[in-house]
Amino acid sequence: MLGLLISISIMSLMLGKYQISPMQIAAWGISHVNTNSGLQIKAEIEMILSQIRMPRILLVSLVGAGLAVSGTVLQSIFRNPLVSPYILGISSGSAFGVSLVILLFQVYNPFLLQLSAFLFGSLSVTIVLIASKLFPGRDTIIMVLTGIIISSFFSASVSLIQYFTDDQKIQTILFWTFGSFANANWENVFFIAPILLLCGTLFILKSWKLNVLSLGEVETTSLGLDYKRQIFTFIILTSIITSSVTAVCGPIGWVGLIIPHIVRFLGGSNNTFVVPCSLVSGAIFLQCIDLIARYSFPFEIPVGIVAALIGLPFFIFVLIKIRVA
Amino acid sequence: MISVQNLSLFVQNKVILENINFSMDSGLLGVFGPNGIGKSTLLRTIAGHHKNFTGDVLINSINIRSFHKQLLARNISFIPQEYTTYLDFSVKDLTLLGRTPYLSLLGKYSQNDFKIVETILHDIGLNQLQDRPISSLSSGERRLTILSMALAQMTPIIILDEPTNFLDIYNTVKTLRLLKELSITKKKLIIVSIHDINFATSFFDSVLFLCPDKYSIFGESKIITNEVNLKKMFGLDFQVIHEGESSFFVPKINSNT
Repeated sequence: MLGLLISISIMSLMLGKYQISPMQIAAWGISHVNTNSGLQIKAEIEMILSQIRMPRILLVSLVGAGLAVSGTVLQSIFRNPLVSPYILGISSGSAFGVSLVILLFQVYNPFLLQLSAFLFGSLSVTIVLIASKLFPGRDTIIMVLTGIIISSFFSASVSLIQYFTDDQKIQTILFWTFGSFANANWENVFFIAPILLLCGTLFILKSWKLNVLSLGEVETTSLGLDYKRQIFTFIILTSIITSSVTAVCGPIGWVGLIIPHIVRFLGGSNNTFVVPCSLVSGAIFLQCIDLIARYSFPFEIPVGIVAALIGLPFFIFVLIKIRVA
Repeated sequence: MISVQNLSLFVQNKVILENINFSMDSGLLGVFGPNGIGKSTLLRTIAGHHKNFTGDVLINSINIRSFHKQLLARNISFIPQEYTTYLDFSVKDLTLLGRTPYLSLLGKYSQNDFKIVETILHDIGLNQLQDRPISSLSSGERRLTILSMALAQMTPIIILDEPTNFLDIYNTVKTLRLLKELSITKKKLIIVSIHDINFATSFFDSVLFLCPDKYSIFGESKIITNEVNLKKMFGLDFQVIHEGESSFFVPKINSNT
């Protein structure tokens, strides 16, 4: 599986508006590992590979892995096959945060953008969690319901912001809400990577607890785990991943919903297997989507649109599978 | 050993359970009572899921309130009435989850855990099915898998909320026989809520009758299970049929009481 991820990455390095041969990539790779190799790399190839394609591939992989693993975690703890990172209102909250920054500030400031997305994403989750605490016993349904309501509230707010800004800013906001990796750079990679490494490792270490939590509250308590505390930890971690991912590349749907199903379909439901596998599969899936987005049309289209177009047939497949099971 | 003393439970100032007393070392205890009387609530309270009760629940003379969650899970296993698993685990994986209270922070199963699960699946007769996903099992086999999981907890006390619900008569008898056997061979205390009073004298060592008006009767099954107490519990007249050591009860349908 890791092999598949690496081959997809190399393919992504090769393909694009400027085609680069495998030999040139090998030469480029060797020249970076061994600086005394004496290989001559063309400046434009060096530029495209190091500054454009490499950060993009890393960013796409990290985002795909993060969204997929968040979906796996949320589906397990909510015991619901249709839940994804978007159900808690995280992405809409982040979208609002980003739009607000674009509206209020003239200069483009990536750090401020990410901070605001993170704050409003977390605000959504906090509201959802508080609402669910008010209804003990029915907290799961209230949680999902509040998430949906908050999502539409923030979506409406984003539209409102677009209504009041000038054309150029509308374009910026609109482009961002499509979800795209066109602006990928090393700065983004260095922002996402530590968050994902930390949360991903924690998820792998805690994956056995997800198995227990998927049995429900009474059963988890009977097996000696603190249900509320575990659920809370998992929700916080997925919120951190989702909001930081959304801040960087906009809301990208489907990955978090589809990948967990495919992994479980192929390899069984045990989360000690599903969690690491959905990390890798999410990266592979989003790489493929991104490759389609930037290579298969004469001009690049936002990855969020491609994901949604491909997502529908997958989604129907999942629904049919659930009905059969 | 479990001892319940003056147990009462209020939910939003409404009395659900009042002044329940019983104590038992090992064996099979049947909890009987009409629908909505609080059987499930009682079982959940004893299992440590409700905190706001008055009175005492003692396990080996130690108050249940002082147990840490993990330690409690090593002493009592509880199987709720409806056990729905969202993820489609294999029989073996689900049974292994019963070892959760013994796992360390990283959740790695030891050789011992695997051995325990293997033995249990063999004893219950599920070893042929151990790699099958539970979605492919019959409801009887699924119940047995969940029982295996509770057994993997290796607790001296097992509480089951209506384990024979929706089972046919063959699987009902099979389940009760299995529980009876476990209570004898493994010296476990097994508490079961059940509706069919005709199993009371043939399977259960002791019974707890929950009657309307917050009134309960506890004692040896063969003594307590009679038409007088059954009338108190269900408000119906019964005809008794004695068959060897067991008694069977048929409601008198035409009596207008």
